[in-house]
Amino acid sequence: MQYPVLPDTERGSHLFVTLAGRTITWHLVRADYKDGTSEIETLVLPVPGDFSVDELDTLLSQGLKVWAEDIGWDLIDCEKEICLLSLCEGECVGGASLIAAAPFDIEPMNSLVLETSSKRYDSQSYIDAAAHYFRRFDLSHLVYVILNWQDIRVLYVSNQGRTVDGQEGILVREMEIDPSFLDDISTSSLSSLLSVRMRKDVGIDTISNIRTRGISACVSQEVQDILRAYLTAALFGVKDSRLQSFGIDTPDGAVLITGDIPRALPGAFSILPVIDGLQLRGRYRIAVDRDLRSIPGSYAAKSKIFAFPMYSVFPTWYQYISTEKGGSGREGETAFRGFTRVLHTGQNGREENLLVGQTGSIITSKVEGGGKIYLEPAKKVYFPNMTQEKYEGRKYFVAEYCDIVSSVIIDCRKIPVVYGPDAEANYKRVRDWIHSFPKDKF
Amino acid sequence: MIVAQEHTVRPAFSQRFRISFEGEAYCSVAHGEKVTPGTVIFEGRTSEILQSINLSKELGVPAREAVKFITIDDGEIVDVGDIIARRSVAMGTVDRIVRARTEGRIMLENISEGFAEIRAPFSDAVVKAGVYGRVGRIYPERMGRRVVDLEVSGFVAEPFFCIGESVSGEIFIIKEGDSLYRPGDVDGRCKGKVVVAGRSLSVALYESLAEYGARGIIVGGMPKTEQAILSEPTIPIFISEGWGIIPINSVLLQVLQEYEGDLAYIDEDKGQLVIAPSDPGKELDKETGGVHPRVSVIKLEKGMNVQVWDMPYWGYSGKVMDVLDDERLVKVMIASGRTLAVPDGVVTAIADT
Repeated sequence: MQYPVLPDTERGSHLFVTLAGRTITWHLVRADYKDGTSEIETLVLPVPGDFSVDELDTLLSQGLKVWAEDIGWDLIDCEKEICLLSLCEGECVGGASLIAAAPFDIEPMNSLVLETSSKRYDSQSYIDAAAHYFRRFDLSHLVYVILNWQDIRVLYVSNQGRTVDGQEGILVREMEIDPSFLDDISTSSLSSLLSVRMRKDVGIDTISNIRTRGISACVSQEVQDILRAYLTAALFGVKDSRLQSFGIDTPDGAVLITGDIPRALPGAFSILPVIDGLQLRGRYRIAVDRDLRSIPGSYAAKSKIFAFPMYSVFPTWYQYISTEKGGSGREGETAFRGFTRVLHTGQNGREENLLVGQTGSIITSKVEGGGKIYLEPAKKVYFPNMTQEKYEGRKYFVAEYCDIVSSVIIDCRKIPVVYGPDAEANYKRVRDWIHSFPKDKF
Repeated sequence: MIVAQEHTVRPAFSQRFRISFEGEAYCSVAHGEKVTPGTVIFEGRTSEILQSINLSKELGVPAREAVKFITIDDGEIVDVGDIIARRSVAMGTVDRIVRARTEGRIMLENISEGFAEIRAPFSDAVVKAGVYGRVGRIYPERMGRRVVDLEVSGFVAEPFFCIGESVSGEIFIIKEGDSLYRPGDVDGRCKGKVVVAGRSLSVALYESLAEYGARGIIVGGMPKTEQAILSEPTIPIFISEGWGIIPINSVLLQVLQEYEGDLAYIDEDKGQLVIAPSDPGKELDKETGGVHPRVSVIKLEKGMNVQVWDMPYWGYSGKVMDVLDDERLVKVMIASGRTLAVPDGVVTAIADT
């Protein structure tokens, strides 16, 4: 699958400023048309919860000045305070877009660079973004998960089965978790989901503080674990019959994860709660937007004059495969043997990365270039949504993965996945699951 | 290394500073008039609160039910030892009795919150401005209360969380104001004051402060489970940092220490704390003008004040000892002397005033 590298624009670069949740992000996208490359510089900073719009202009111009000095831009002031950002040899920022999520209400910011447009990002915008990524990545089904501090929503996208205005019609179903439910989780005990021992009152204080203030990074085990537990509990609240079949009988499904919370966590701490909270099993791809690019990315895609390479929004993809309920074998026993085979090589494909998996655990294998994964399951183990092929006289369950996939994750945990009853019981098993996820680019 | 900088305490001008008087009072100032700390605002007769009793806790009943067990009338004069409330428990075999601990007049205006007060007899009283400023709005008498808004120059701090009615009073700091304090650390010096009560407010500490007649409380943190119990406090609580046990940030604490004895106003409506210097020598330099922005963007350098937003030192403030740009780490020394090495993404800078 090819993703466009060059933006469809005459401009060399564009500045996107997003005001969403408790962060301001600056994304400077630079495209080189000769080399056919593009890159993004990102700065993310927290803002207070009751941030006033009146303070925004000052903050934006100040942020640009400090950032420009830090990464070596030449900033030329003009009448409008900030006008031109000269990057190198006459190249300059072609325009700026200010995208503000509710509840901020932004008028077009005339004090920023030459061309400025502003856009309000609201519930409809998430639906538009989901539809856009569904089409752009050529999917059959999409679960788009937005994990913000004060709201969590899941959008399920599928083909409608008929054509609308010359395009295949798509159906977007939105499931938003009631904020009061999130507040209830924050004040209840998560001990059955935690893997780090913590007093109940400390846990409540921690999650309340984090949700109120918002964070852009954390390294402590306690915060990472409590956020993982909080997300899992929150996503348990999403009940939709369509999600049950996602990954089981969907030919090319994907899960895209974005929002404030994935920004602050290592990728595994966002992916595991989505898989377990929504109880998604089967075969699908996963990608995480950790740099808050999906908002400006989808907005830019609607306009043909802005630069924002789509591959950079979700730069790292994983192929997820799991066993199915009732077909997992006994804990600790061998669940499968297999291998990955790269398709597009001069040697007409070769075997590599022999794999062995145990029931109850997660196995990861790095891959490069498109290929196929061949799995020979043990007795009583079954992998849904995979074709069956014969290879060198043996029968295998086979799934193809494309060249953007960097790792294959094979989940052989028994269904239902069991947590608890307390942190001691979770300590080893949850740690093992987390450490099994790929480490690259997390 | 670029970080956000928060101005947790900012010089400010023309901030609302409310002076109130409970009782019959005459307002001695006019709109627009300049005031000094010695300017008389109200003259009248008032009744001082001598003691606040948590009947709900003493009787072991929900706040709304405390009124059922009162044995005296509102406004009645009591002596030490007089029975105020009685509840029979254990099928009538045991009585839980609440007695007056001081003599005075019983007031039941807060009985719906489970509290009774013993007040001194009415006496003549004068309320002075205590601050430099100008008279803003003068409100008519309402339900035995007079209010005047002054406009003052001072320092403004926004809370993480603030609950209770607005109140003004002299700043008093328990010990150094940066530790975890117990009910035994509270004494009569808290009476009538806005008390800086350290890192965390427990229900027990709150009750001790109420018993000694504190007017307001400023703390760094408060366990959320305790806040659920104190959902309708009679004494306003200003939490500066977050839930849990968190020291007041070093910049705000320094300002409170410097202006201890001067007046502070917890403005619950506006969600801010106003600290108004009463010493002309400490008056703000008017050339600085306006109110500083709450958030700005800076490059982090050695010597700057920062707060850490990660466990186990959530909200702790300290000084930057070193900035390691290549590793994107910051070395921070907190008040205890311990040095932490944390990623830049978990710190915010705090601006000096």
